[in-house]
Amino acid sequence: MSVEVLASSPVVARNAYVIDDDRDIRVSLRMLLQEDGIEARPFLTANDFLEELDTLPPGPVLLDVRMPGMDGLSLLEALVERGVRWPVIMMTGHAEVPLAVKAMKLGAIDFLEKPFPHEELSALMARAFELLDEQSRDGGVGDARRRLERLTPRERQILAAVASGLSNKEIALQLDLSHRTVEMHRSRMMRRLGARRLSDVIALFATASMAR
Amino acid sequence: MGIRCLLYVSESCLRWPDDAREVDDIVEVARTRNDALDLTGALIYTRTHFAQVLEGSAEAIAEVMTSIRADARHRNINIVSDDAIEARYFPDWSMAYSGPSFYVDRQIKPLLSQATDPARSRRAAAGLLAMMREFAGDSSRAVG
Repeated sequence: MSVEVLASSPVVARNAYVIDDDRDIRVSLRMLLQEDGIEARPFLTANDFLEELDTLPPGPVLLDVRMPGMDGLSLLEALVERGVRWPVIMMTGHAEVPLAVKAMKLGAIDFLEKPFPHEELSALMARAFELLDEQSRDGGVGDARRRLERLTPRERQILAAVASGLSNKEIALQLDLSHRTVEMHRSRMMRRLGARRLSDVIALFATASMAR
Repeated sequence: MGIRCLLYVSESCLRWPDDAREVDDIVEVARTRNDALDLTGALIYTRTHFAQVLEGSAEAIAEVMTSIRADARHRNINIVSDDAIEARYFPDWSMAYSGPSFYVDRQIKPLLSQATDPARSRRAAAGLLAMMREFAGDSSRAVG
């Protein structure tokens, strides 16, 4: 979406969060977002943001990767762990591929490489607000389904079996696979979803299975 | 028989929002076909571009590429690399990424036109392959 379109539409203050230890970035992002009608609240550290998280209304999070103390990726993990699914946009000077992919598997919607054009920021924020609206409408069902689309049919089958409480041994028996194969599919499924704990995957599956 | 690894990028002719269903169709057909032909690899869709890696016998890749080239859902197909490899990089075939990420799209864009700087193009291709492997979930092997 172009800046002009956003600027000419009626300005409803929408809020977002900027977490970056670099003051210049915080200030310039605030100004850029303001032009798009977005009120950005700046935070100096990941911890500052986490401390206030419970009192904040949902909003997109612009998150710097490299920060002293808790870094951006750890904060993203902390948000996932707390079940906070607000759209997160990561920012960095140069995104290493494994880091970028890890962040996106954790649910980050994109990776902005500084310096970025204003149009890219505007387009990403528009997308972030769309996702936020969708979340408030369907309780995260669409989001969960999109994440599960990454799995192969076999992995999805095993996820369904795991979610129904079956052990690896029982799944192996039921699907006529070796125990090792089930374990392999299971760990690959976890990796593909960027999940560390089984309970997270089961929760994701439960959400995805809900009717809209 | 030796294994080959082919990487191509192309421009999408799909339009949002119908593209999601179209991509589902592509994945559905590709999974079955690639399984039958013992092809592994990954597909990426960024709403503007596609990138696909295919690994397998030269015959299987040629067969699939014939139908891929004729597919009206994309255009300007550029074969980035087509090399003999010793072992597969991908354990199976999967949709590695489908979404609107600018970051992912930026890894594809420099490869859309014929290389003017071969060294640079090789680096970009290695970067794209590494990203596809990360998304596909198997990053235990280093790029050769």
